[in-house]
Amino acid sequence: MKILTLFAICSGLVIPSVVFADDEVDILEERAFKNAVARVQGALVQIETIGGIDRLAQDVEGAAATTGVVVSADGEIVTSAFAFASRPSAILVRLADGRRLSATRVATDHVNQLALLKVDASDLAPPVAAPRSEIKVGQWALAVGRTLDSRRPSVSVGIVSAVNRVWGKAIQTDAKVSPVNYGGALLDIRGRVQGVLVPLSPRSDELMAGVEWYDSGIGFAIPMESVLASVQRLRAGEDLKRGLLGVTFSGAAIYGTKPELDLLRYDSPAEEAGLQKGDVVLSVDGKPTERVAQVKHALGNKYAGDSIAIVVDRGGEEKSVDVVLAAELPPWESGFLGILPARSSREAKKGARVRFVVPDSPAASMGLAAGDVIVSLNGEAVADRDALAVAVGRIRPETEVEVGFVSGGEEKLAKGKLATVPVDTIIGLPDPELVPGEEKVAVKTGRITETFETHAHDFWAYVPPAYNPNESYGLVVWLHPAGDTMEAGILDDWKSVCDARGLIMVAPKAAKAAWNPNEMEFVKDTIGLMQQRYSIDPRRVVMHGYGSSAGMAFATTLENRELVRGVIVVGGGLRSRPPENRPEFALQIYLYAGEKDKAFQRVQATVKGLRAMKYPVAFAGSLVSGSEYPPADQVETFGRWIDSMDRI
Amino acid sequence: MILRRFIVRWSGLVPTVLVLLVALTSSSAALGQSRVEMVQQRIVKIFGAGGIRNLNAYSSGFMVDKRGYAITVWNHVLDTPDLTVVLHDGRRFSASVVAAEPRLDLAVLKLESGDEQFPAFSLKDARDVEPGTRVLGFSNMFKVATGDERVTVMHGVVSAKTKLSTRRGSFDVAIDSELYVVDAITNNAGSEGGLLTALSGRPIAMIGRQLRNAQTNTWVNYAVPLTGLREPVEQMIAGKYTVRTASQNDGQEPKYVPEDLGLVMVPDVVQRTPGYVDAVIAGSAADKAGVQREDLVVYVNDQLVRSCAEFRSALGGVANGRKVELVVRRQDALVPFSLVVPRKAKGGK
Repeated sequence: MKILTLFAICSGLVIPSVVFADDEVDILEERAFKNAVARVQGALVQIETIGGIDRLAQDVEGAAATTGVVVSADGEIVTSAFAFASRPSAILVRLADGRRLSATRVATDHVNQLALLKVDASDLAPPVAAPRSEIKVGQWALAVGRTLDSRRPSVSVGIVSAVNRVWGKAIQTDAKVSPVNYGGALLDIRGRVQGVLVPLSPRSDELMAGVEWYDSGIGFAIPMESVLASVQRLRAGEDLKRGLLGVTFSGAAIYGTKPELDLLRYDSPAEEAGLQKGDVVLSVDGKPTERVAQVKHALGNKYAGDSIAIVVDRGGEEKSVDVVLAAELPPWESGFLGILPARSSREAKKGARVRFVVPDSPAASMGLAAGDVIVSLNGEAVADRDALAVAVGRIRPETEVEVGFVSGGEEKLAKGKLATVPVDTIIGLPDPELVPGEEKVAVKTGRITETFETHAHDFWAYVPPAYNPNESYGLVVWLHPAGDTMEAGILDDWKSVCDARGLIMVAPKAAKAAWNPNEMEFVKDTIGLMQQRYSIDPRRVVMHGYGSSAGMAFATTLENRELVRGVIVVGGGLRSRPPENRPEFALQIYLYAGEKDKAFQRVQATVKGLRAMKYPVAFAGSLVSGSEYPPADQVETFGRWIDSMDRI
Repeated sequence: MILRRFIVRWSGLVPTVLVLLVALTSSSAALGQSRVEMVQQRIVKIFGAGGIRNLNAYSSGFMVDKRGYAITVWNHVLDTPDLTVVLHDGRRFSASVVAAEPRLDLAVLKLESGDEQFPAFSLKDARDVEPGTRVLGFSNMFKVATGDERVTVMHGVVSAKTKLSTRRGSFDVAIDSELYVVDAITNNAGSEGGLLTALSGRPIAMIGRQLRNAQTNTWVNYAVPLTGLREPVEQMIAGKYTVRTASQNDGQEPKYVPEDLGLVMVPDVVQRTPGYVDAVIAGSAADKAGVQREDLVVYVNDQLVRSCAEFRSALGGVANGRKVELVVRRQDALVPFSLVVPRKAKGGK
């Protein structure tokens, strides 16, 4: 038989069998990978959590399991803070030898996104650390975790892609880093620990930032040296917070512009140290800072309570100050003048024309009236309504200001104290004076149904038939609740409001019944598409959610502050603390709930929480209704509120 | 080293050794290429049902029998009378599903090709590998390859070998045996049914579906070890396969409830209320063993229970009159208990 087969092979009659031969180098490399993992496996533990908040930020939810790295023989374990974002009620650790122990969280390092856990054990084996100086770009790097299976670590193989990444904090690797190995270790080929794997993002300090890069070939590890230094401080049981200075810089290009201080947050370390607007930062802790990015780099891995030495140039003179960084800044609250500016491009080239004066506001007591044009604030010329909004937004309530304006051809000056931004909608706000467009505009108006090809998603929209590209329109982004697009009903409720208040409505549709957090990109791009096609006022882009879409509406709003300036939510509240209000992208919120709605209490709690953070939150409830969509007069109020979002 | 393995395997067949040595004397890179080409000749592109939103109408497979049998993942693509298989050389054949096993996510296809013979893998050559092993993934992901184009090849390592099905609530996988998790992004649209090989070209596993971890909302790339598929595939080809039936516990109401052990749990108000003991019934099994009020039940028979609901469903699988191992967290310690569950009459509450 064998001879026959052989004959057949040689004569090419049948297909030969296959021989599988390995290259020696491949085998040696594989063996090195496996040995490296074996060397560290005893120091990797699986961590499981019970309880806590169900849903976290957009893409990824808190995992029930994660990995940790032993850092001391007597039961100290470091892991990624990621797994504890949901604040679990129990933490269970399974050691490499199979022992199960209950763990307590000692403290969290919010700069490096690490958490220190403690279990009751005295015989653990911390791994060998790779010296930071020996970590070189191009070296093998193995990402290991024990999340998938408690019995054996999982491994992903890559190289060191960069060092000193994310403001000097992290090693970057192209080994696959994801919730499967967050909290685990990055190893060199010898099995020494280079660092602890965490989600990080150079763009954000939020705990969940960077998770969107999971398995992408962009992964980060905090170098072991920093981990051990952090553990030294965490041992005391105090959380380590990011150190804040409390300044913003002029100019958006952080690599192109010199670090000139622009906005100083009130009661911030910067203000208390005597820094001033216009100061140019020359050095931080002795390191020269020629660009904004270098200042960020110098501050990126500093903790609250750390003291830094700053040298600034103030009008040609050098000043040195020591600043103790703070963990938190007092919530920002903008001042309020009490006017609504006119919007259309037909307006005067200089100054901001007043469309409406809010009754009982500072503007009213200063004698401003509709039709007046504001030309200066505190002696500085006001170019247009945007400049006025930015200038007033930077002044604290209760601060006295001097407003220059032209009224009936006459220049006037008036003084008054700014108020806080009111939470109530303005009663008696007249409809904006919209000039109807020509008979035929180049874009579609009325009810529009479309498929967004790049996302394979549908959306519908409503554009007032009298749409005029020379006017500016608000944009309401309706996110339907799970299982019901409510298309006909919503259109019916909002159509007349859109026509009267100059609003365009767009309604993306979820692919399945409920919104998936991954669909946020589609929602964002739909807004972008509408902005491309229509004349939309960036200060009046509003998300609108109802019931089960409340979470998606909040998440989309809070994560896209530069794009979305307001959110109207019916019958839903926030489940976690939102990021703080930002003076440059101030956010306005309108919540509505029926008292018989299950969600009513949560909505009330959300209103309270947000107001404590100085967000302007309007709240309306109905004594008689439950979870149903609000009646027509309430929708009109929503419309009026959106119409007043650009109040100054 | 290569030669040594080779001779051991083929001892007694010296002339063959000589024939194949010719191929082996070429450079290492060229050798790698010939291995890839060897694999490519055995990979097929499958076109069938789908095409509607998010459902691709194409997938991958590979030949496992020279008489024209290929295997792939059992999914919607096969749900059509017009199934087409395209070989590496661009030839198209109609094909039909010979047999399928939903519990293994496995289907065997037969090409309508008469007596023609094809290059094919033998599943006897498949081996089990350990994490850290370097692998190549072959599949027609996103149907990038058309006609006689070869399918896409990726490289990575086996990250883990684990039962994804044991993480309840995380993975929706039908297969309850150990699977490979790969660190390359092998599982894409159309790659289901593709092949994972060692660098030597030796078949290791069949690339699975696109799978999302429902808990972390992240994608996982997994493949099904071929060593476990060999027997069913052989039986399917021989026409002797019987489809597995659902195991006994499936779909049944939990048999035991915490109260049977003497445990009253805290009210299950939110979706994931942790399994705290609200009260222990005096004289019950739990009471005798020493379980206390405010203990947090964390493991049942070594299985993590993260909520009252999971605790209830875990108790449902306990057999009549058997022991159940509980681990509770009390203050900061884990305390194990072994409880004998009381016997229950059939149909009893």
